[in-house]
Amino acid sequence: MTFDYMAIWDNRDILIDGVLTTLLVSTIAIPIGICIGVVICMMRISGNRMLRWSSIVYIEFLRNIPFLILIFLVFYALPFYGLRLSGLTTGFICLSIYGGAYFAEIFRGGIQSVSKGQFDASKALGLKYGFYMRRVIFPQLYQYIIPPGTNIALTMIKESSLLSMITVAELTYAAHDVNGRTFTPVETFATIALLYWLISTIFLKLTHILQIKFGAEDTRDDLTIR
Amino acid sequence: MHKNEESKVVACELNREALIEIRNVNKWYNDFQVLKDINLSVYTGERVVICGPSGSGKSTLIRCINRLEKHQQGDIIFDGIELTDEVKNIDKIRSEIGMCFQQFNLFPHLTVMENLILAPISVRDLSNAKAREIGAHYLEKVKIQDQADKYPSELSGGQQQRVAIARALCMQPRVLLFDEPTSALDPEMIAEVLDIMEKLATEGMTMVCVTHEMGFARKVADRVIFMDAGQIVEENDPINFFDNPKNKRTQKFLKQIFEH
Repeated sequence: MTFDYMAIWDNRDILIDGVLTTLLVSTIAIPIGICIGVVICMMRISGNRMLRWSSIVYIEFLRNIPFLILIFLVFYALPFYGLRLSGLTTGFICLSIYGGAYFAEIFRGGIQSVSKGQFDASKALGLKYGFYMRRVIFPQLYQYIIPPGTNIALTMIKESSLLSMITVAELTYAAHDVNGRTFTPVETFATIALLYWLISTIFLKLTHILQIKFGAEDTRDDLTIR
Repeated sequence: MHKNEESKVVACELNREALIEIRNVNKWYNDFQVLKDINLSVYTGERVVICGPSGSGKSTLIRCINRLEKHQQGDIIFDGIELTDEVKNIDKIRSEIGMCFQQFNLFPHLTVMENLILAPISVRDLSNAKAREIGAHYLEKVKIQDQADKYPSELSGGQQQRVAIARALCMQPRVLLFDEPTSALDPEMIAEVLDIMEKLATEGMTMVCVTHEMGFARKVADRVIFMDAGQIVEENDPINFFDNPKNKRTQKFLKQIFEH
């Protein structure tokens, strides 16, 4: 069986546009998701019962349903209530809020991992809540949140493939497009797999730099069996 | 002991108002009562040592003084201000109360000097230069001048605790609370920390100290308090406390401590 490279090469424009759209959606949704995560996390740990309760509802709803169902709800069901969004807009919004729920829990886990004594010392010195969260607690969070955080971001990049189901012309959609024209599922989907793999690998390399910068590398000698 | 009597007289003469007033304080963790009817006054210039078996509530008690823990019943009054849920500016009040912890609790991502100047700059609004000046002064006092740019992880336990004391001192508090400051230290480092605490005491710092170091208590304390099962069982000056303990529980505790 020969590998029909030309089928792919001839349609490279479609695939490249797909890659660019995937990157566009991810690059915007991940930072927004992180911001949402910070806000939701602060609500989650606040003393105010309403804020806490709202954040729990938000997290539970978004974490416990499949991403695909979420985008179907927004894209197909919301128009019945008067809100018709484009596929791309739906993609931005859904991916951001979905990631936000996970980031919120990661940040909360990180805050709880910082030793209680740090909070005691901060309070004992008379530091205000906002100040010590920013200057004492947050700097100590990086080692706890960067590994799971990069995991979620990576998941978001891959989940963006589901946006193909609501007409967003990202990479998976492009794959179906090319396959539809050329009837070469082997070559097409193999290429897509490679492209996703490249995107993910480059992303992980970048986050590795981030990890080193913030001292969160996960290289521990004592975890290897020798 | 002459020194103790002298300072007691001085304290009474200068300041009849108690700096810290604890009246009929009760505290529960869910159903478990951890503080039972505690009454205690601490006057400016006094050194109070609290000892007792673990679980007696002594750490909880001093943590209530700066409201790291909340008491459910009774009054705690610091410098005339009552500590309640409605108290405004608890941060301001806390800045007048210094505290040193068993686990030091230095900020690991900041150097020693940065640890010292963080609160003075933020709470007291001092300039960076002024705060560093004060920091350097107290670093010298605790004898760690040359470690200013090191990170806590690079220091020994004894050094870290001394930095913690300097950090508390940089806020120039009215009183210093110590929660078992030497309990997490190797024996050879205990002395260097106790020396600093003694020095502070002779300079007139008001101190409330939870500790097992009875030698320190004997030398430095104006009053020694024994707590057991959430209650203050006995309270006396060091001589009478150690030589003539009145209560059976105190006697038992002292016997255990000194037989070690």
